[in-house]
Amino acid sequence: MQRYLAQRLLLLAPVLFVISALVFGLMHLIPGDPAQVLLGFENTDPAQLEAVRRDLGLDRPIYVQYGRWVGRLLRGDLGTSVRTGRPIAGLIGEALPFTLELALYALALALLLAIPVGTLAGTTKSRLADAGMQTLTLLGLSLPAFWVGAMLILLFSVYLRWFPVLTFPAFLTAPGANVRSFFLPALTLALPNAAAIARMVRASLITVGREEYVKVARAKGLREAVVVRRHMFKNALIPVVTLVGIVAGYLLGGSVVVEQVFAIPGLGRMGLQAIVQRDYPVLQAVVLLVTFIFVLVNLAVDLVYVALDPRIRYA
Amino acid sequence: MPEAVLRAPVARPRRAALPTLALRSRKTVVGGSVLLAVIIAALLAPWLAPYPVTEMHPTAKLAPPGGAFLLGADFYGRDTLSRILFGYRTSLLVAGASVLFALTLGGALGVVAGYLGGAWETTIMRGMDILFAFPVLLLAITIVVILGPGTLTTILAIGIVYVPIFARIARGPTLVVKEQAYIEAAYALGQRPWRIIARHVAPNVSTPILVQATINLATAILFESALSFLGLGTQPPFPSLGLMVSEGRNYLELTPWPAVFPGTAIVLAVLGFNLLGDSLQELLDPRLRPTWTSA
Amino acid sequence: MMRTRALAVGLGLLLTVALGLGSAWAQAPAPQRGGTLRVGVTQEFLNLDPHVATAFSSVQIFDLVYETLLRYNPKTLEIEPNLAQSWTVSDNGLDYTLTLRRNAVFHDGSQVDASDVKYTIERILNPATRSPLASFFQPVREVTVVSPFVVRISLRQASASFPSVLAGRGRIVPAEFEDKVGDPRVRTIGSGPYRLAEFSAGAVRLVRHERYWGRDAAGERLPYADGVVFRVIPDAATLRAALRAGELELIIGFGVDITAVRALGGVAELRVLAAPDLAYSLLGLQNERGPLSDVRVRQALSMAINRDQLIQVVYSGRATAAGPIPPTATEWRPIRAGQLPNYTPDAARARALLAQAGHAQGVAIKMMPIPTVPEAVQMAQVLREQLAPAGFRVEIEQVDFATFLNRWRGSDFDTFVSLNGGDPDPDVHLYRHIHSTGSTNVFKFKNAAIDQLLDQGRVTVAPARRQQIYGQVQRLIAEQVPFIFLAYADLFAVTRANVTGFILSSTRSMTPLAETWLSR
Repeated sequence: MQRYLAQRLLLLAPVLFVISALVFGLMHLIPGDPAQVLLGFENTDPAQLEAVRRDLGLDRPIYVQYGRWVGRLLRGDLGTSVRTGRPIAGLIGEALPFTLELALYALALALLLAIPVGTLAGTTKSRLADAGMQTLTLLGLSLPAFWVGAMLILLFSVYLRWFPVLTFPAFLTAPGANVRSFFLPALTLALPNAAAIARMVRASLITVGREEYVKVARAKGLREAVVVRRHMFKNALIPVVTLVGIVAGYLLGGSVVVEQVFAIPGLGRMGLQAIVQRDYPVLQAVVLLVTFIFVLVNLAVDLVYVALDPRIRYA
Repeated sequence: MPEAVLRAPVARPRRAALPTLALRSRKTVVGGSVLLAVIIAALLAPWLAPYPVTEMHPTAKLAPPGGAFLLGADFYGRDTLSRILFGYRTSLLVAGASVLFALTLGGALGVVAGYLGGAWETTIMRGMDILFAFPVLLLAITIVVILGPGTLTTILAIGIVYVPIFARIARGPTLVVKEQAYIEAAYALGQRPWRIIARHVAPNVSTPILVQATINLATAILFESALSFLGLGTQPPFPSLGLMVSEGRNYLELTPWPAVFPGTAIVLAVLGFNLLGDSLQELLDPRLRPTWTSA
Repeated sequence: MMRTRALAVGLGLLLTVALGLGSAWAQAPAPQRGGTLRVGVTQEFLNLDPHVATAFSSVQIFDLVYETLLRYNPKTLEIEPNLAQSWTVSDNGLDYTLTLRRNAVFHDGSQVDASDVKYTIERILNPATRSPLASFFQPVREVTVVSPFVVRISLRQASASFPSVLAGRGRIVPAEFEDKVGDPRVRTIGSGPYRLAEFSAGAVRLVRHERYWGRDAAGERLPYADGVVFRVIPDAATLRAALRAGELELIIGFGVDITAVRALGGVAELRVLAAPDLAYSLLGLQNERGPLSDVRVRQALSMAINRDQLIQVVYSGRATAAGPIPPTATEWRPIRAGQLPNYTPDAARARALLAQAGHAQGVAIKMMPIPTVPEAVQMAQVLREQLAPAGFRVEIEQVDFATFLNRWRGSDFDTFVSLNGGDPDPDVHLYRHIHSTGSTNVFKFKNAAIDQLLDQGRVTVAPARRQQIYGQVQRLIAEQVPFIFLAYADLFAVTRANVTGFILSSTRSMTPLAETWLSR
């Protein structure tokens, strides 16, 4: 087990290395560069442009630039934002809590919605109830997030005034206000994921329900609720956990669209801004971090399998 | 991810029974007819649309539904109905082409990886893992910014993002089929690898891929709308459904219609794909077929 | 003889409005101190170096944190004293002697004096600063500290627009600013009514500068509010929602457009402010290569545009079709679009001109809207429809910000739709875009006659002669079509009803926030 973990963590290094090289290469394929963005529309002097390029080291061959970046990274230095001159570690420190909270909140909401709905749909005898749940979840999968977000803001913040639009106080200083203010963006993110997870729960339960041991349990005369709880649930969870892992990985990477609509300064918006402003080091850092989180979540999911299914062993 | 999970169940389609089964499933009928209607509307758009798709009527800015504009008009006074019809063309084209791209490339990579094994498999699948771990929207945006926005770029960007999904799906069944006795027999008979893939591997791989494709057709429409929302998708004045919703969203307080109708159009198409995907999955993989469809 | 100059830019419309409001102010309640003004904007704050950053978002902060020597009156656009309480110009127009007020103090406690002015101008002119303002201060030969509070700026040649430059640019920083401030991109030391308290990706927080020199008419210390918070909300619909929900006091800048006016105008607890903009939207043209290098094709393009319809669709009529001089700068006799050559729509003549130029079958051109101005892509779509009947087949290409910038700087476009910042002074307004040596003449336009007139206008101080020059300039520009002036739109801001005293200025200045207060 420990060897497996160590192996997986070791494999992470080359993955991150390849990704960083990939991002570095891609960034230099994009037209425009940070020196131009720094000088903007007013300072058009070509000599100044060259000077800024020199300041930023953009005049060096790309492998030299990459080497320098890796060198700094290995010393634990993420560098500074080209555009604002602020240390990237600090920028990430500001953005990460927003994204983390939003992701965990959305995941919690998604599970809270998905598990009861999926369980009901997967175990009910009523065709109507099942069809209703299925339509509902399909609808959840079919709505664009920016549209849902706008509707929620209009309905709950402007007309009903139940939730604030853009005050995001820190959880520790004002937990109540914090939970309230993140509710709408978290719900927007949660809806399609809740739908996907609910469908997986339902399908999984139906599959498990056809297994012999469940039939035996039913034949013993156990009440259906007991059968579901004791015999079906744990086994049905395995594929659900896979999906939840993927969803968590995506959510923790920050959602560009939801952060944009709800004015949340998280990782997604930071990445988008970095692309548009050609802030190379910031984009590098964001992509690396997001990928790192994604891979870690996947590793965590694999470990959960072991707990759920004694047949899976890692050597 | 452990092998146990990635190894998707291999379906054995009962070919003869499929059409009959399909017609007996209410989901297939509903999903199929919705999609058929949508596709016909898109194909016949130039003849069905009451107005040229980019024509502006400055006196009809944000006109409500009814009258000369059946579904109302947008900010520029362009007919919403005409734009939805043409919007379907763009959205379906982008979704269809990007999924086809991902399915072909990803499917091929997955089969090759599964069939050849060894260093090939490791290289391909690690590459796919890396692509998969990349933040999707940021990757798509980067591709669009590099290539310059436009329909072709959108297709490519979405297609590339979806490649690893299909590669993973194709590899699992390939591994299983490869181990099976009839392949070994085929080997023994001296058949060439590509023949073995075409004869024995492809049919088994195509089922899960088909199911996945319908799901991704649905998500591709939404993906395109997210890119359009950020100004990096379909280029105005030509409509895609996503672009229409994202434009209309800005006027929600004045009139909901320019966002509601294209939004409904998206839901219809996505619903159609999802229903079809669902029923396909149930038909082809009977273990997932719920009781009420087979009744 | 020395004379004090106050450049009067008449603003008929605004003045009437101001006079009308004057009587209302007479009964107005006394201003209340305290509270925080929360301002919502759509654009990110990136760089706070007052001599380097030029983005509208950064300038909004500079208006409150830093001060210029002179300033434009936000209502009348007249140049008036600011850090300099008076100034004189030598007869030959070369020496500006400014007397500084003695009660101005930087946020670090040091007094604003002549050596700070000298340092500031030298910092701008130092190539290592990489200041885009350097081109405006190029005429400066020398800055001399005459006495602690008197400074003389000597020019190489007379400059009619120099007071404008001192009023709009060159925010004064303390001597040895770079050593004191650390990193000027993220930290500030100014003398303005507010000082920077916090700068993060999504917000900028300013607090009152307790030793600010400004006083209101009753002699009360300014600013009234304890602080100002700028919140970045990239999505215009969310911005409006936040104001309606009572989480902001004021929304202003890009995204606060005609849709905001229509959506929020009827809401009881909100007020809409409007002012004619000095900035204008334009259709930039490629003068050097391709079909648009032929003046007839450019004229045909100009004639194919129906500006009234454009304004109707994009701005719901809240804009003015005008040419090279802003309609608000009445002192320089702006000519309305209808009286300018090539500015009246005529599709038939446009087609004929195109045919003459050898494009009987029409011309295909690409059009690139700037992504940071929401109206640009709207205008591009309307223009595409308008230009089609005249024989122009337009393809719109939406690119991201840095790509736009890259192609703009490299003159790599057929046409683009954008917004150019305006200025009450015609030299500042036109020279850099249209003169063949202009720093932002990305159109690659070259015309000897126009160059000569612009050079004259730059050094001619006598207003009557200057007016005459810019009369000719306006007609020649309309004739030669270096690019196309589309519209001077109305600027909007929306406040909650308890916000009092904010003036929306044509210059987009935020300085009136010092005199803005919240009634409770």
